[in-house]
Amino acid sequence: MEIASKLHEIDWIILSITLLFIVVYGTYVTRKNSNVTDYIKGGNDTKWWTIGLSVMATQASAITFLSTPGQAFHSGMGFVQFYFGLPIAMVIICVVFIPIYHKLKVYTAYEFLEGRFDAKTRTLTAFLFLIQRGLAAGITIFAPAIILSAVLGWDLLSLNIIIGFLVIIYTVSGGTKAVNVTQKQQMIVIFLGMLIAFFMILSQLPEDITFSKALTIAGASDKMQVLDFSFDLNNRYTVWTGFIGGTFLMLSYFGTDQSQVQRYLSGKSVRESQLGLIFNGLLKVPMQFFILLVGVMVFVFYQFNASPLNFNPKVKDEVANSVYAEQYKSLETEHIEIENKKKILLVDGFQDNERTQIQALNKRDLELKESARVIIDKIDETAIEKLESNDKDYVFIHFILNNLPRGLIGLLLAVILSAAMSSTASELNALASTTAMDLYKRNIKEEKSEAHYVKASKWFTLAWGILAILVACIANLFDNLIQLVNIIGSIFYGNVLGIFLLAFFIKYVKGNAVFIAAIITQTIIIITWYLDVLPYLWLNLLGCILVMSIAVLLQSFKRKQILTNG
Amino acid sequence: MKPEKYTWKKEYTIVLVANVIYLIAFYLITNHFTN
Repeated sequence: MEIASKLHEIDWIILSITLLFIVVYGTYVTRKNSNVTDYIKGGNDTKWWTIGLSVMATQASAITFLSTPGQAFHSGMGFVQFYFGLPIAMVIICVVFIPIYHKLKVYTAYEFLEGRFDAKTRTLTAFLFLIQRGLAAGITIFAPAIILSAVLGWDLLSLNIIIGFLVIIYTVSGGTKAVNVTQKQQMIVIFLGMLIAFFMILSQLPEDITFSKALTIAGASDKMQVLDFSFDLNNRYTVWTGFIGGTFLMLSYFGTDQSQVQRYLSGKSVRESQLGLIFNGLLKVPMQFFILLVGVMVFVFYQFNASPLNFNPKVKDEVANSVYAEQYKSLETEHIEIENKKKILLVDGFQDNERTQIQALNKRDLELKESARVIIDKIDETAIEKLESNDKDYVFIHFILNNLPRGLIGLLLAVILSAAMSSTASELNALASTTAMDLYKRNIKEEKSEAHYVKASKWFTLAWGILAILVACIANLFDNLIQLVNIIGSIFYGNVLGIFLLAFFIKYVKGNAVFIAAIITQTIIIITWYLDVLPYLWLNLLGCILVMSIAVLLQSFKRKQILTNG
Repeated sequence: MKPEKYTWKKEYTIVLVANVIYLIAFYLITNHFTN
């Protein structure tokens, strides 16, 4: 493939050295894990900044760095509102969740539920987590691999196996400590790479286009609308969905998902864990804002440079071999004409009286892109391989490969792969810990040594790693596996959060009521999803409300029965 | 299990105030660059 040749030797060297250094260093410094506390809770000696970076690295997958700039390129900065609930969730977790988890010295979030309710509720929530996160781990590998294989011509299966294998090496060997240590380095690579990319984009704008003028150009094309106060339910990103939905979602994710809980359970003290989350609460919104700003600057860059009508590299060949070739060609011709007109208007910088003309040209360009997407979707219906018409995942990588200098391309690819590895590592680490502590240790009768459980945890990490690679390798066979994984997440997340909220806040409710409520809720949620009554994102909220209400009702009913029977 | 006593620390106020400041900055950016 043409673009693959753009990877120079120096890119390969930087990419390989960065990734191998992280893997070798992570494996070497954490090779001595003698007990379960070391392996699962990182020896309980993690400092707050490591926790903070680790929490951020777990959430920021490769898709964050591939997709978010593309999101800003098309729709502007509004996506940042999605994170508005995060600081509120961080504070709630610091005040309520962390002190209890630390006091009870739990290894997993689900272990707490046994003390509060009973063993069956613990097993049920652990099981729900394993199904959901086990599939998601495969997608964390697959999602960037499919994009990189499309643009670089790399073999998809090999890429899945390489990413998965690199993660398995240090996660199996060093457990939580290895995940924390490597995530610190991965975040340094990520921050460094994104900062350099940002300044490289600015340096490639025409000489008289300053940063301030670039923002004005972006503003004239509606890319700088950060806040949206409208109450439109069809609009996914508004201030209100960010605060209400965001708080709810982030509370589920950071408070009850073991892949995050395990990060702050490794803290040296309650205070270190709390400060780690506060660090995340301070930096997350500006970080997302910055990644979106990179995308907006890419948009400004393409106001002065040629861009394809659709950034997905597979589209060109597929369209050329279809009956829509002529129709697509005429869209491309008009797109180029618009680009040329914009260049003439913007060549002397942006003047206020040019705003209307720019807006009209952008509007027409959007219409062309939409028509192109319709054509691509039609071709997709008969294509053997899936042809993605939404090109937001391809915008930033297209920019990187075509416009950044040698060496920097290697560093940016290291950013993307580091992000994929850091998220996957946390997932495998959490899956193994939950399997080892909540299912295996909890259910075997005889006493075993610490070394036995460390060994078992390592085997579980390896097994989950292999399963994640397998899911990644077969993901391409299914049409909408990424969406399916999100749906599965929505089906289980609300129920699990509801159980935790009951545990923390409604002391009156006991184990049996919660367990029955959870089973009833899960059945209702699956039926609701099957009947397609609600958009799947709402299943989160419904699940949480249902399990809490049913549990309270059942408990009240039981209490009444006891009182009546004397 | 005994009912927990929840304690408020100044770091929580800092993180919430910082995010309110971000929000004000976003409001100013939106107003300045959007018609």
